[in-house]
Amino acid sequence: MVKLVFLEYFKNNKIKNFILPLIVINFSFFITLMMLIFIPEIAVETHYNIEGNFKRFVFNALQMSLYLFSPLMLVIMTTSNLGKEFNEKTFRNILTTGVCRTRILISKFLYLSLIVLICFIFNFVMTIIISLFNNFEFNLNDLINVIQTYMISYLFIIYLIPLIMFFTMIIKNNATIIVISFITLLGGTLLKTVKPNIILPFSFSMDALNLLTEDMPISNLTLIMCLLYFISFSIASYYYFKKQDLT
Amino acid sequence: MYALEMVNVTKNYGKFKALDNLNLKVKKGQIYGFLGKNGAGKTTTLKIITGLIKNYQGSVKIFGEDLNSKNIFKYTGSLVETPSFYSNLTVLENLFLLSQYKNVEKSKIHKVMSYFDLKKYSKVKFSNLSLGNKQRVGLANCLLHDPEIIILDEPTNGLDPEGINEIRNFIKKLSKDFGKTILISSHLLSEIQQIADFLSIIHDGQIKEEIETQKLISKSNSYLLKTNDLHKTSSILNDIKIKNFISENKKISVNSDEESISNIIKILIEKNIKIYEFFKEENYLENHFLKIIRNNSIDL
Repeated sequence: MVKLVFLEYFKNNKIKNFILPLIVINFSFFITLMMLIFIPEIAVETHYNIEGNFKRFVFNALQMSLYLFSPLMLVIMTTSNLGKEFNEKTFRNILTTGVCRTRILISKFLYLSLIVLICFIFNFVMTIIISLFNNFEFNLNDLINVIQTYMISYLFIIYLIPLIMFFTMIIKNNATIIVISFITLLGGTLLKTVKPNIILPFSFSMDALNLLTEDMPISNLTLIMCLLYFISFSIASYYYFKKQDLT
Repeated sequence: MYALEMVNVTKNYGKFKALDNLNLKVKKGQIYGFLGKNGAGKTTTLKIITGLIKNYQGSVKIFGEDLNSKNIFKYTGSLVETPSFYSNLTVLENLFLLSQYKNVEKSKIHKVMSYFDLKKYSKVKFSNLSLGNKQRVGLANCLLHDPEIIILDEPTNGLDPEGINEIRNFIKKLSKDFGKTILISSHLLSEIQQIADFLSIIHDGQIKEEIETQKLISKSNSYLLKTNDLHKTSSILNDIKIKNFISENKKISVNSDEESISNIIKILIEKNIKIYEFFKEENYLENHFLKIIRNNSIDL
């Protein structure tokens, strides 16, 4: 399995694996920072001791950019990884080698999860560096809290992989998937603002923002829904990939 | 035991029957030509054999082992339709990637690259290769794991005459030098005729005819005659037991070798038949193929 994950990385020209996610992360950070400066009302009250509006905005932007744009980044990465194989018919060469289809699918899931993890680590390191440069009062407990927040948030992102994989296999058109996801993500975010209790597949990552605030603990329902999405779309992707004609 | 055996294989795409109880047997070491017009079921058959199509009825066996057996694909190497590789990777990287999936050692990559004269392109991106070289990469991939059976779907499609000739020679060499069993499909009769030892004609998802290529070529000793009385000519030829039929363009097609045809002409003249035109039939194989797919009676 390790070899198959490495081959996924190899297919994408090694360094290019990280260029797109890092561009998205940095771009989204900049966009979010601008949004926070010009619309300060959307900033989230964090339970870390952050002084001054700008410091708070920078910290917020780092966190929010990850939650808001990670799903979109994941969509682009999944479609470019999986959809490209269908569109360019490169799957034919792999499937005819006799490697188990389930193993191929799992390796793609692991590869995408790993790339997202690396992006989260990058974001985490940036957060810590900015915090240190701004003399935030951090103790060990705060650090553990931040790590926990990142870990849970990570799980709130990767539950989307099977869902995106499934729709990529069904629709087989990268542009369509990206447009649908973008509209769903924006629509979901807007709906969530208007009706905070609504449950939408793409807005769970938004719910992860709740982890940053003391007053809005994450609901069990959100966790259950995420798990349900993950399981059902994993099974659907497995059946589609394993049993269908992939020509 | 056959290298490849398909028994009563049926494949439906919704209401469309792509394969209808197809039966196919390929012997070890044979170059088996699979001929049919576009949409006849050639590619569907090859995709079933390569495991790309999973949903079908019937049985497919490779060297006696069921297609669903583990490690069955070690026996087959395939190039289905156009060669599809990662356009962002070089030739060497593409072959390295696939060698890893096939658990093949690195030295094998350089071997196949030398065989197909690809070494000079090893650092060239796949997207920058000519179609002929892309086909060569496809063939190199087929041979990476040294399979017993090589499955090629219209490998000369889109190539210039030089490229076609090159690929044809490669295929012949694979059979001659390495004793590989080759299953090759095409809609070009002339192509199949030059490569295959044995050919089958597929139409509407069924094998309509299976024949040794040499036999078919020997049957192509056919002459066309235009006479003053076609029916009388035909009856005379029938009397002397010479196979013949009246073609659509009001000529009589006579099946004969070069030595006998002069005697036939002599007999016809003696029987007061006036011969206006006499020539060797050019497109016999093509006509034969068309007759089969148009469901006409076969008169050989």
